[in-house]
Amino acid sequence: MTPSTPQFEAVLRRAAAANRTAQPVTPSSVVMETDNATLYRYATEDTAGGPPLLIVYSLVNRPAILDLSLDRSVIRRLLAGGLDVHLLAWRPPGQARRYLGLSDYVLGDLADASAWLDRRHGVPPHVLGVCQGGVLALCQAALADAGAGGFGPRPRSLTTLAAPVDTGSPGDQLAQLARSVDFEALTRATGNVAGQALAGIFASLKPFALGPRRYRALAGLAEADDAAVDAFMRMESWMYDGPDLAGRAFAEFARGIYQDNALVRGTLALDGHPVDLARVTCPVFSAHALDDHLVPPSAAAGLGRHVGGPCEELALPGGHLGLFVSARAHQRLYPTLINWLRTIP
Amino acid sequence: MSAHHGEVTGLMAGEDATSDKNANWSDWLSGLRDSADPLGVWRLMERGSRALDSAQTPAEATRRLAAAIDEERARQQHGITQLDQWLKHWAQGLRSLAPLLPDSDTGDVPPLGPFPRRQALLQDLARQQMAYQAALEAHLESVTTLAEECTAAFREALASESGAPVESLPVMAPETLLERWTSVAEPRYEAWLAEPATQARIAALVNAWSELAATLRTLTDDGLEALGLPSARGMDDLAEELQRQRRRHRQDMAELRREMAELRARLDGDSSP
Repeated sequence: MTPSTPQFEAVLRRAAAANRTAQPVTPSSVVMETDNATLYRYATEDTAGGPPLLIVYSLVNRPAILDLSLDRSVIRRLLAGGLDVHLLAWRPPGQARRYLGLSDYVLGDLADASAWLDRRHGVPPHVLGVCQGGVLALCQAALADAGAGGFGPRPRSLTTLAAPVDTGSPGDQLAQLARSVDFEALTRATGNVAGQALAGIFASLKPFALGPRRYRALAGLAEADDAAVDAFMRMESWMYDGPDLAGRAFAEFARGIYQDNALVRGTLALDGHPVDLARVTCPVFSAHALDDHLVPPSAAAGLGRHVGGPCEELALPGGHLGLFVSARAHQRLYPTLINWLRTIP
Repeated sequence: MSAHHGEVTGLMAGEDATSDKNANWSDWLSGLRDSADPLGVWRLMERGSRALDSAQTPAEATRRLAAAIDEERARQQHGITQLDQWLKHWAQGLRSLAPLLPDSDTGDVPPLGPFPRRQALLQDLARQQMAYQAALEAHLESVTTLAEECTAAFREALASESGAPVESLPVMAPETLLERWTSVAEPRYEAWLAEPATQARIAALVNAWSELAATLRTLTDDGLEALGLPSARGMDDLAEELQRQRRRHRQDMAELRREMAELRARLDGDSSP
């Protein structure tokens, strides 16, 4: 079928009418607000007594990817594992918050949410950091003891999914592209960084896969039911609907993690407190995708060499988003993770 | 975006799209184009898709691809020239808005007299504009050169697969041509993006734009403030001050929590047997 056929036009019309709102499918309620985030609870009656799990999402994109469809929902998978699931969803900063820095997110919002769960449940939460959220969670875990209660509790366990920890490899495309960019100058000019511009950069890394190939896949849905077209459009909406990023936090992350590889080198500091991964002494589970072009295996693997506690690692075939929406991840990664979490005292 | 978006909306609203030039696949793809094409790659892809969509034979496809690249190159050149024009209009507008501030049309006047900062800014602006134009030109030239190399490779691939000259190959479905083109161009694009020279050009482009935009902002803010109006710089100051206050508050709270934790630990220690 060529794209200019009536069938393709019919798919386009159905796509235009599709429900493209990337809204979560699992009900949740707001349990607390931090300065820059909202803490949602997804727990059902069955999981009310389960151990608390705090999901820390990336500042880039929206967490809806974790709960886009009933059969591929990470949230549902974790709930089914008996966990009392909470999600820390960042609120997009307006221009008045362009000077929000990483320390504000980590030592403020993340520490507050974690401390709240600790008080509420009487035990610190398991923490699961997604992509950049994994880095934020590692920072909080590393500084928990240094804060002696002020920076939130030490997590009961820490899971990272595709977290860019070691960006020193020449195969790390984002790190290589970032190497000579003056991010302070960029954010002086832009204020916050537009989510749409960032989505444009990500799309430019794989323009064929995300352009002709992807939209040919849409053309291939001519005979599919509305649910398939809806699913396509929800993913499309999610991909290009990233929130704006606070300029300072963006520049700090780009310089610290992508230019200086500061997490691995031990040169990252938040509010003057050095972030030493060796001080992450809780059990760690780290998963990454083998064909991830955004966070390549070289960036996410080998976390066990840096943290101070025991570390389990799992590598899955597939790309970045596959860690959240692929059948493989739902058949293998999340059952493994849930079993691992059950072993944590 | 708006013009293209309008085309897409019209198409989706049920116009007789099959006979319309907007009906083809590449036009629909072009509806996605907007300012978020920081590397200028999507525009080239649109043109490439359009070229392939309207081709009947491999020979025609390669000719149309080459023409599409030429068109894109011409459009880019025009855009680069337009920037100069746009900046002149912008400077005129600023002068009308804030006539109290002296301006010089050229950047080669040294910063003499009572307004050295402004003269220096205007000199910076002229220098930065040239630097940005040069960086943009270098990047776009590199992108279009890559596209030409991909077209040549596409032609070679088609010929070597069939063992016959491209000109003699029979009609092929546009989707087949698009698939072949993608399989040839995609690895070359990724290799190009991984080259240190490409990365350096992209960084130079971003840095040149940042400098230019910062100077444009400063000059605009100067004009607004000269008239006693709020400026972006003033809003930035407020935002930074607010963040400083919030941070101080957060740090005080963390310190309090730490002290409470210490006290609790001490109390627990005192009460233990």
